[in-house]
Amino acid sequence: MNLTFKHPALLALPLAGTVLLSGCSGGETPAGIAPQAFTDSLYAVMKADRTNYTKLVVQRLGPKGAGVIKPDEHWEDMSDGTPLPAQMFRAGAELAADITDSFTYSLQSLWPVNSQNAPKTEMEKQGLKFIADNPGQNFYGKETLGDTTYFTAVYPDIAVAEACVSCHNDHKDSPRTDFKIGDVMGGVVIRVPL
Amino acid sequence: MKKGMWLAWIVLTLLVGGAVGWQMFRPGEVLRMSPGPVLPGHQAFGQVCESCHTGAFEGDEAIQAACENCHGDALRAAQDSHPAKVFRDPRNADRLAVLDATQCQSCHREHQPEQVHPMGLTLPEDYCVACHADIADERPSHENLTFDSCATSGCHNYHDNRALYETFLLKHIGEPVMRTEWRLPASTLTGKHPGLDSNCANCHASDRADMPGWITLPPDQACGACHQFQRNGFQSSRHGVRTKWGIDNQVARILGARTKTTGIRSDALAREQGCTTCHRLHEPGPVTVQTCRACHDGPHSRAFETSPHATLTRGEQPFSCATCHFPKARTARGRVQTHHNASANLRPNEKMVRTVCLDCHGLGFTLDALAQPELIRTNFTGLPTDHIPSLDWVAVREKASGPKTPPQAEDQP
Repeated sequence: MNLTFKHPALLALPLAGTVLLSGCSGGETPAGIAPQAFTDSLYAVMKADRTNYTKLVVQRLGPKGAGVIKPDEHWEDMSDGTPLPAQMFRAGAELAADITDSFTYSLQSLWPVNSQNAPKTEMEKQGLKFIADNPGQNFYGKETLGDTTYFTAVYPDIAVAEACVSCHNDHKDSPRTDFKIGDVMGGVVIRVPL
Repeated sequence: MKKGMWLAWIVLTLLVGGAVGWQMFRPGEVLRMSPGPVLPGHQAFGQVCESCHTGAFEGDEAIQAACENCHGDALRAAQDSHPAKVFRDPRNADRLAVLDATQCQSCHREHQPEQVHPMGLTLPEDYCVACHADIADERPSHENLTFDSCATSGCHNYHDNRALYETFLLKHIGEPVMRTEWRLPASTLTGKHPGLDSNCANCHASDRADMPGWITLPPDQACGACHQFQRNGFQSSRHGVRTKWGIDNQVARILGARTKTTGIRSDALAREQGCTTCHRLHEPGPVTVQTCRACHDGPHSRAFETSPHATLTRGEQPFSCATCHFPKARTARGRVQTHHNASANLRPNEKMVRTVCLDCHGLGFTLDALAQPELIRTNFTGLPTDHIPSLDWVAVREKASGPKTPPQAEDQP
């Protein structure tokens, strides 16, 4: 199964170096890329940015580090507030959706702090359960939403810092309070319209 | 015979088409083709239909773009809690099938005066239920609440929720009706233009192309040269939007004569709106109540002078309409600036909570007072008789969840 890019400008994204394209030299039409290779590449960039923001910014400059910023759900109301890693991730997803409709992504969980981030579609439910039950594995499938069919990939979102664990365990809206570092806390869902 | 019929048909078509076209584009007659009066907030545009209908054959996408062109910045500034981009995620396809939240027109329709909400726009009563029908599962306190009570004053706003979100309410639980120390900044206006009074040319003359020669009454550009923040705010409001888009006042007057705007004097609709409409050039002190009353003559405006607020002063300045509707705030550098976009601080009235009310009052009292139309009509003469339970419910939920890290959110008045 091959995916043809609707927006060639997308190739300018940082993931370009990780994407294997064929037949794109000499002005020929790109032959396309397998959806799984595409979503795997996107996920690599997302995971890298998310981990780096958590460790290099939030953990280093936050209350557990230099103490010069305050990661908070309502960061916009604070002069030294900064978005939580999950909010930064969502902000990226929203901005990317403004730039291209070639893919969408979101962060979801079977134990969401915000109930709007619980799985909604059958594929999301299957995927999140699969990655929770099979640590280290990803989930791939196809689903139809509205009148469009999507390639849907679900990747594990793992607690990489103490801040992830304590925030979720302490939050009054969290349905689960026994997370440990290394646990699968949720999943990154990436959709590509076919 | 056939030729004659064809000729007659062509002539008839041209005559009818010409007559309709003449009616559509004849200055001053556009309203005859309009499906109905526009919303109160759009009356300032008069009959400049292309403000929203940006092209003759454009569809809903163009109208949506026009909505966002004017209202997008205000929504972003209000930290819109339901931005359209959230709903573009395919996982919301089932929700969009019920209520297309990516389009302003799904809730706010134009040219339907019989459906205009007290806030001045059309608004369905049950839009929250489309996605949040099961809210009582998460919030038992919401069990049995009616479908049209979600957006009751003091509960929830679809767009601007900055004064109503749970952590903010939690931080303000238990506040008194009146603060012991007011935080209302006094004006820094001195009554004069320091250092400029001896140099008339600063305002009355210029070598700029748009201000040639001597000008008796300086235009807004002259004020904006120094007061850009204030001018930008003014031009984003209903007061100044005509000036911003270069809409002829005469055109707006025609529309104003055909529509009813509660509380506005009929002769005020065509009045020139600029800096010097309210500010006297050589006495640029605070705007008085009388200045506002020259245009605003509704019950709320008329009740001000007998209201408790009218007896108060801020520094040496008496309270006026502008105290609440043109709030002052300190910048990060300590300067006091007056916000001139009154529309951004008006409806829904919870917009005033953080910018104005909390300077003097506790949040609980504020939400109770703002929820009562009769108190607003009398300009807050008296005390609220009904109670909004939002803060009580937050306190109960907080207590039930056990000890937590105290909220850290700070106010940004």
